[in-house]
Amino acid sequence: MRISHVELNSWKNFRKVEVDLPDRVFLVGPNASGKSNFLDALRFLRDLAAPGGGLQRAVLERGGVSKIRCLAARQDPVGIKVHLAEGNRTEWRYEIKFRQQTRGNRLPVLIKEAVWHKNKLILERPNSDDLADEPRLTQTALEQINLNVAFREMTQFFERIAYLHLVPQLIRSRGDLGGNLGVSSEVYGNNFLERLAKTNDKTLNARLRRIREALTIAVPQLKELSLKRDERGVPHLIGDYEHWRPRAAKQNEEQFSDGTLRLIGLLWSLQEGEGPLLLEEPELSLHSSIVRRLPGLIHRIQRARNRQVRQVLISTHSVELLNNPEIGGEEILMLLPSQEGTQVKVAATVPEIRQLMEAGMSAAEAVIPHTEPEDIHQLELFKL
Amino acid sequence: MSIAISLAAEGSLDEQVLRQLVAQSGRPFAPGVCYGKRGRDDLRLNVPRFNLAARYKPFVILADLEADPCAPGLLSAWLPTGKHPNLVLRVAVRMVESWLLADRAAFASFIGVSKDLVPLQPDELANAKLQVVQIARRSRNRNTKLDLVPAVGSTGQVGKNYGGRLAEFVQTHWQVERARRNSPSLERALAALQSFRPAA
Repeated sequence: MRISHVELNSWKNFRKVEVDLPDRVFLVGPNASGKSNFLDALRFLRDLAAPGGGLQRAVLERGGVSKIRCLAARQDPVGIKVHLAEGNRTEWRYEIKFRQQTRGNRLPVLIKEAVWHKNKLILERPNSDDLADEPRLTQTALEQINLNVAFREMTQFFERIAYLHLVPQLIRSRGDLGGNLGVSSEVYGNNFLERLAKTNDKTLNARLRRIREALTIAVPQLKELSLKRDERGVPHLIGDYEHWRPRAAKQNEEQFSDGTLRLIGLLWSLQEGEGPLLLEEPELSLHSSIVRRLPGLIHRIQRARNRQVRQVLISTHSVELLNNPEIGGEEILMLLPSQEGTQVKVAATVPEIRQLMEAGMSAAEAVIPHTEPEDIHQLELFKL
Repeated sequence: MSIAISLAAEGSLDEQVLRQLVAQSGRPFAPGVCYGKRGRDDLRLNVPRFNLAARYKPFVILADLEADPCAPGLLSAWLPTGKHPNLVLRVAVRMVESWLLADRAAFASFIGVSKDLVPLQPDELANAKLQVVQIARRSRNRNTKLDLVPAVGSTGQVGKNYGGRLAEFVQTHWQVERARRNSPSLERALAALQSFRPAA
């Protein structure tokens, strides 16, 4: 199953957007156009459905309704609608709309919540129970086990949405920085090593073996990779580095390079889980020869297991990554800022781009020029 | 009514020159994106693709003649199957820097040298880039010199902020109306834009 369609209303940069999503999606756009915020809308659904999550917490972690709603449409309620499809068949549709209470604790409250299975509406709120007991509107049906029986499959799908934006400094510091930043658990990789340590040995070793095989090509000095606990029980990644001395030197994650850590994190995430994977700028710190191969690698891993295609959404600024004839214009979402909030366009729907790509131009050449800030050349006039 | 067009050029400096040329042409063109900017070989490879896309949106392209014998020859070599009427391909003889030098007095004052050091017929120069660097060596302004002239022993052809400094000149001082008198290739490019009537 994949997220086949997304509609956002007054969600951060987006006043009103509606777009279809294929199995592999590349999000491109200038800085601050909303690439991360687009992915965050999907993470928000995950946060609603995840154990210990829910509407109140998901909104609070994002700084409240006032930080979520779009500046270009302050009065509008925040809304997210998604379709989930198996192949071309839409299985589920979910819609949520909420706003902030105008009085009292100013909590986020539902204005609408609806679930369709195939074409049948199976949940619509507010219902009579909600109207009789208004505090119920501070919780979604997704977060309540006794309410979501009829659409458990959809809820579990949301729960499996995974996000990766590894910050090597946070892996090394084991989240010491992350705690202070108030970022939620798995984001930014601050508990990455604990996640590895919780995996059962057989799976862990199989995954680490595959990662090592890839790493010995990308980082030839690295000969071995394992996870070991120190005397206090804290897990560490241990690598054996070959050098001119006869015995390889052992190093742990604190000594790994940024690129090595990010590559390990990326390869791990691609193997972990089955739900949609949201990757934030996977090209960072990696050599261009690796970045060029990422789209193919991601494609292989998408198809690797259970004949199920895993959906991957990737935000990127990388010319290297997009300079690839295997990427189609229908896979690229262009985020274009405007006065009315950021617009989202599928690259293949712009006739000029479509023609250029059909004639053999790569996505990098045909699309990236469209995402340059309009006045970028004025940077040359900037007085230092 | 403005006419939306797309651009393509060899590099960032070329893009700035092209944008100024379009803006100063006196025609209501509304330039959007600029493709290319990855060198001359890349531009050449893509020109036939722009020619196809010109069906959907008019294209204006700027290339350097470099060592090719003549501009019409370049056009037929780059587009052997013929040019779409919605595409304009103009060629700077032999480099876009010639068009900057052609605004003689403004260029001399921007660099901080006497006008006499700037050649009268920049289209005749084999390597206008080298000429710009030579002129900059005589500059009275230390920062300009540091930006445009390569360091002693450097393998770079030009200084470390060559593109940025010239782009500043193009955006703040360069006047097509003055420059066209000294550069026949610029004069022809301007005339081509002024008579360009793309079919909708």
